[in-house]
Amino acid sequence: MDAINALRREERITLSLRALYEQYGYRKYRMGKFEEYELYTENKSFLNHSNIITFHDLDGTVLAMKPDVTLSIAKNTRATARSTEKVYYLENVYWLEKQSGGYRETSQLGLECIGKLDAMAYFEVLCLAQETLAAISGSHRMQVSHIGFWVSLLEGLGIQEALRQEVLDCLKGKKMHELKSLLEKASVPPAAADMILKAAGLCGEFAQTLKSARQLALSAGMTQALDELEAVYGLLLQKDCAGQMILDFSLVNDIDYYDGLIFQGFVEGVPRALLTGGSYGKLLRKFGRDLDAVGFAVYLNELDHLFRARGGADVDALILYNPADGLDAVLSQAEALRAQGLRVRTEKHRPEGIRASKIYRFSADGLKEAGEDA
Amino acid sequence: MLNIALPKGRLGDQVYALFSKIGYDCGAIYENDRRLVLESPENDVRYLLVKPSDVAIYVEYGAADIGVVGKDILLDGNPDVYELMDLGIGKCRICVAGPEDYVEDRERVLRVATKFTTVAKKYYSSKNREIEIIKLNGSIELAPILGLTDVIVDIVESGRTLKENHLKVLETIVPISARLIANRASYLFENELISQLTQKLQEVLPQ
Repeated sequence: MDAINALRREERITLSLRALYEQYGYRKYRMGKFEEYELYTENKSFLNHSNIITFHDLDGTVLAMKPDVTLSIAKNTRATARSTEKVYYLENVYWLEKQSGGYRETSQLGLECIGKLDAMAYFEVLCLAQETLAAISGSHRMQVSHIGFWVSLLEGLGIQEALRQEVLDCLKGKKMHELKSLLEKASVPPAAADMILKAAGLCGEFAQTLKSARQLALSAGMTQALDELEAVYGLLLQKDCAGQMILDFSLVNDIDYYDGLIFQGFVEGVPRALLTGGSYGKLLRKFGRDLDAVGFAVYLNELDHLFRARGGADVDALILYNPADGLDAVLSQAEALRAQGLRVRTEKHRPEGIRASKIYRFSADGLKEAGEDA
Repeated sequence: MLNIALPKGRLGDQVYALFSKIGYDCGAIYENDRRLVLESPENDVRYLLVKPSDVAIYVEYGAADIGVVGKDILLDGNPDVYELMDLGIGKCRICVAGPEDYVEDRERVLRVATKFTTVAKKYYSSKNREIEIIKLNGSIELAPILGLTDVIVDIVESGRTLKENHLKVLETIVPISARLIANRASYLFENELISQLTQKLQEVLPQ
């Protein structure tokens, strides 16, 4: 048995995901704990959380504890039109928790692919997102959408910016009833309103939904968005990993940053999205780089929901000994068990708060089973 | 099995009547005891009876797959859930109310008593009106009577409580009704059960 199995489940998952990303040629990206605060004030709506921990550096610069990793990677990318950058990261980020009203440090794992990207790159990231979910739980689902489809549809119908935001808010909550009355109130012509409502309801099996969406495509932008989805879907089919994906056009994200494919991953037992991702070329262009970008983040703290209840023993074997019986013999017994891959703890007295699968008592006669906790 | 969070009280009773009508009956609910979890294995549902203002929390955190909650609570707490349907029951509105002879003094900061602090803040900031909020949890109508605040922002159903306290509606902020909400993950993993339920609801609700 491998010694790695002695680690907690979350840690093993993290390691196996890192290995997965390395297999696809992604390199680990390591960054400083702090970032200049200005980066976040200029890109506020890119962040899910607007509260950030800040402090002054000795020279007076305002620094922040990172609430996000993607912004830092995008700002500092070395990618060019001919050279794609593929990186993954495992970093701690800091944000305000709504319920408790306090800051929290959480661990985030993710990857970014920046350059001039094609369907292959988008497919690869989507596929890695899918494999990430599969590594965490056998029961997982992914929602996929395309923000370009919506931008093009709303622009084509002449929907003003303020109303556009309200439409997107309704989509996010699948509030079809509110969307309907919103469009009525804003005097959107019935034909246009009908089209928006139809598009909002597009959700289901990938190929079928794509087909229904085609019937609504009234502009080159919408067709292009659907072509992109279809190209990626073709590759997903080839790798046989499209089964857990649904196409859901009610999934949207900030249109100032995201411009193409977007997705969210769920595993059964975690009440929120465990993984979110998308292509954010617009952010790169804000930084003055004419490049595409796609990536995703996994919120490792959410795994708590999954593994907390399962409990289990802290060690496989607890050996209780009396020093008078000879430490050499205790050591060799413990080593023999460890060689079998077990987690073994040796103690003179029973430690508090430690659950052992098996408890052994060591005496001159050797090791004797003395009970079990879990 | 579908876990449904229902608000305890009058709205919950109405919602249960609606749900039992479309086949989600649960005999245990009539036993009128103090149980908070009632199960109907034959109909594949479990009802959780919770405080109305907590329904959205149970759903957002996945303890319930779906729930029914007043729009007022959704507006004030802004939980991250799907809002699938307007059930058209429990209708009322969030209003600004003040004394019958109230005349607003635009030169002063407006003092507002409410439990809907987010709704009040958003409403007045959209009107560019500076306000001071005093958060109260009940008997809000007392605040202007005692001169604690100028106006209140509260739920108005028939307007009787206001009238009996010599207050009147000054402005309507937003109409309210009960909404069917769903947890985002449950919506994916229990999609079949949730779709069945929404479809049945759609059939019995007036369009």
